[in-house]
Amino acid sequence: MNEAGPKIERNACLEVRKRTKEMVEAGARMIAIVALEREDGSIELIYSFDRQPGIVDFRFQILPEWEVDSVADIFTGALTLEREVVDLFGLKYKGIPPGLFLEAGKSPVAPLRRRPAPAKGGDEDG
Amino acid sequence: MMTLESKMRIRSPWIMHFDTGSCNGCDMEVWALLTPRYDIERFGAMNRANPKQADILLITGPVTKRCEDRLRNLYEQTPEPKLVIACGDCASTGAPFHNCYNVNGGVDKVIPVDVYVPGCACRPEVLIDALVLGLSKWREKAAGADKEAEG
Amino acid sequence: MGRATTIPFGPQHAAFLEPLNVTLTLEEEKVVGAVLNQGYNHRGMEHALSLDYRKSQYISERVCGICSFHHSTAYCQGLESIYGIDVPERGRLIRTIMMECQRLTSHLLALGHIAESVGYENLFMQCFRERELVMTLVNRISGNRVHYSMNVAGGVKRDISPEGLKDIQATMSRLRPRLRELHRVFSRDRTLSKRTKGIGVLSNQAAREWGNVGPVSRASGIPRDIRQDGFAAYSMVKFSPIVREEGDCYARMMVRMDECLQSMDIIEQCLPLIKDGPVAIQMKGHPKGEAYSRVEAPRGELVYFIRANGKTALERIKLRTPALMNVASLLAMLPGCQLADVPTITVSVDPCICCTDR
Ligand code: SF4
Repeated sequence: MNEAGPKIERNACLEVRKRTKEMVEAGARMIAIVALEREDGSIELIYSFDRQPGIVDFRFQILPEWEVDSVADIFTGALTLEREVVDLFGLKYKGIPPGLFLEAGKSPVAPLRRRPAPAKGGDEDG
Repeated sequence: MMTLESKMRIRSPWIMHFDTGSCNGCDMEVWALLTPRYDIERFGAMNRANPKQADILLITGPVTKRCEDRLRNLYEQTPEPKLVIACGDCASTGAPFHNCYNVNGGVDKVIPVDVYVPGCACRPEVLIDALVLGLSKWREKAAGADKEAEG
Repeated sequence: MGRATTIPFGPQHAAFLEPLNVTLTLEEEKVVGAVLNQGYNHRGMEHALSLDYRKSQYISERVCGICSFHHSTAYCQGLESIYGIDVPERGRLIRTIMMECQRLTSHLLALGHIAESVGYENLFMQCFRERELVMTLVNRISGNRVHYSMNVAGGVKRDISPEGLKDIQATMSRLRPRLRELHRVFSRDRTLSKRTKGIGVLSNQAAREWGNVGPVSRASGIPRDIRQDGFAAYSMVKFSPIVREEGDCYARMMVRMDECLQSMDIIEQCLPLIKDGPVAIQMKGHPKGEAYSRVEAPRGELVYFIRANGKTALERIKLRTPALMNVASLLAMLPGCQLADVPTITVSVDPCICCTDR
């Protein structure tokens, strides 16, 4: 594991389409888009692919305000994965609406972003 | 005194099952109820997917935020007297999903519940027991409702 | 051409076990457009899972009750690969047996639902009757019918006794002729094949684009089965993925049916391999590192991504469930079909909404 993580770079965020295309053309199947919030508040995005015999991925780090390019036209199945990230992390993807999982006005906004633990499911008072 | 209608209905309580965000464990057991081994048609119960025809609501799951309104809606559509059975721990108390942010923690936070069924997952035998217990409650309810209608 | 009508399908519908809403646009009886609304089951499992890695085995089972053992295996495997340990052979074999038992129950459930969605009530009942055999078997072995709670990071916490092994063998011998009979009905029945053949076709190309996994992708001619990677004890048994080319509901149904028979083969291959020995090993310290973990759940490839930083709380745990990809591909199957076929098509991808939404 890379301790420092990738650098926060605007370019990396723009290259996502190119890199995805390379992967898909090499016959890889997209598995997941993993987003995670790092200690400094930036978001790390990991695009992972199934390319036999194992899993390959590329990762980059962005600031939460930045808009990421959608890859749904390169790999159709990525649409759901992107909508998930939009919902759970409140990121912006070009042309991807929120609302896959969360009910506006009732659910917490970007639940996986906030730290420490936001809400208790069982009883309101916690 | 019970009216003829109530008497008939208690012989064949039609159930409606609704999943409000459970893990499917209890749903499978509800479905197992309908099938040869446990077979609740012995009690005249039948699964109907239509709230307007249902007498008993079998609710599983801790009620997610998105399901909340649907559940209320279904409850209102069910004709009186109705009975709500919360199947499983998460429908009763929300315990298995205690730390999840998108749940209400139990069916009784949204609609009134008559019978709570413990277990994660609740076993079909317990569900049958709950159904029989529910029916006796339901008889009281129906008798009460009939009296009101007469008086 | 008639006017287009829009009708909602679900979230509470006879054909679905779970809340899924499909908004269909119809021209007369033909479906011309479909929009999926999901999220009725979103509870926030990823958050709950990341709170304490020692308790997450319990929670990972509650993600889905139909493939609970696969979820907890994926989770435990992830932790094991962070710790860099190998589970003892007996532990791995027990895991494999339990996973295959669960695949049997899951596939029989799916098959029963397909039968029910075309109105074949009888066959639905029959599937569930055979399924009870497996359910009671796992009940005797693990003490539970749904959540087996047998996994821990490092192995399994409940051993199978010699009588238990005999019991499994006996149950499999009882089950085999019954499943053969089911297989005969599913493959030969005229009504069933009329309602499923050529319906809801997902081409090989589309399956690749939508990233389908599991039986749905194998029914469209993609020969990929994560079990071939040899996690747990799958490297010790012989099997080959079941692939069909047609990509319609019939193919998806038959892939599942054949996999049921295959599961029994795998279980029977595992039984003689079990030797005395430990079933689990202890791990020390908090996990630190990052791992992907994959298992082949009944619905396809299930991926866990775990990153731990040496505390009890995990930094991130991400689940990519198979149903998430498969349910989304309904959008490729539904347009062009008849309204009456919508339940069959939806059920044939085996939508597991609690997995999809988590
Ligand atoms: S009570 Fe347990 S088994 Fe039943 S739905 Fe809830 S989590 Fe699943």
